[in-house]
Amino acid sequence: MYRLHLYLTDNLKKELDIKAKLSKKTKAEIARLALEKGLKQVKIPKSKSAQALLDLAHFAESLPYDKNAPKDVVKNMDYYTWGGEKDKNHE
Amino acid sequence: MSNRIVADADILIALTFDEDPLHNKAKAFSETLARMGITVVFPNTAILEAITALKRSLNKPKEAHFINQQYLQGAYEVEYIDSETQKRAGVIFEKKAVSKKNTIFDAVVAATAEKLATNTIFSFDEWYSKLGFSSVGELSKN
Repeated sequence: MYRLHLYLTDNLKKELDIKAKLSKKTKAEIARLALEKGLKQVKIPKSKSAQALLDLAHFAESLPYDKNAPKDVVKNMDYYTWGGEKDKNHE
Repeated sequence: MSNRIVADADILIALTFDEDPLHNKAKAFSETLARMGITVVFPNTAILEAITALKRSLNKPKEAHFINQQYLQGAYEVEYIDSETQKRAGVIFEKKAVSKKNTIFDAVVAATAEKLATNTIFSFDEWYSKLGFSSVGELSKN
């Protein structure tokens, strides 16, 4: 479990209190249930698809640099993925 | 000009391999696409291909799972391959895939670009230009 502090509007707090009381559950349980259902409705805007690529690059750069990693993976992707021979032009 | 382009698995690989000289190029092109507001569409097969290659062959499990998590969160624009696209890819593969390196997955990328009526494919694979598609480099010059 992860602990999160957040501010609720007055209306949300009132609704949370009522639903917790009526369902005989804790406010935390109701909040988790609501988040679980509500988060599925939150979609990342599709126009941000190029940003997803930059996020991927930033993630990769945040990992320790592997000096032993091959430097020609993209040009010789077939060789590294499927085996066979390297393209002589891209070695 | 179409506001969307189709991308291949090698771009995902390039972005994860910061040891590869093409990493910075892929990143620079991605920055251009983001700035131009162009939507990058991946055939679902390209995402599966990249995840598999990174985890199974290239020993980059963290990057493979990161891409999968991005996919699960809806970060990528994905075109799911239907029977028509696969059939068209099959035709391209039979007619144009002369080299051993031209895979059916590459043909799916080309067929997806045709389906989405875009002439630009984001990839370092030179086969697409032989098929008549433009590269992202040409797009950013316009």
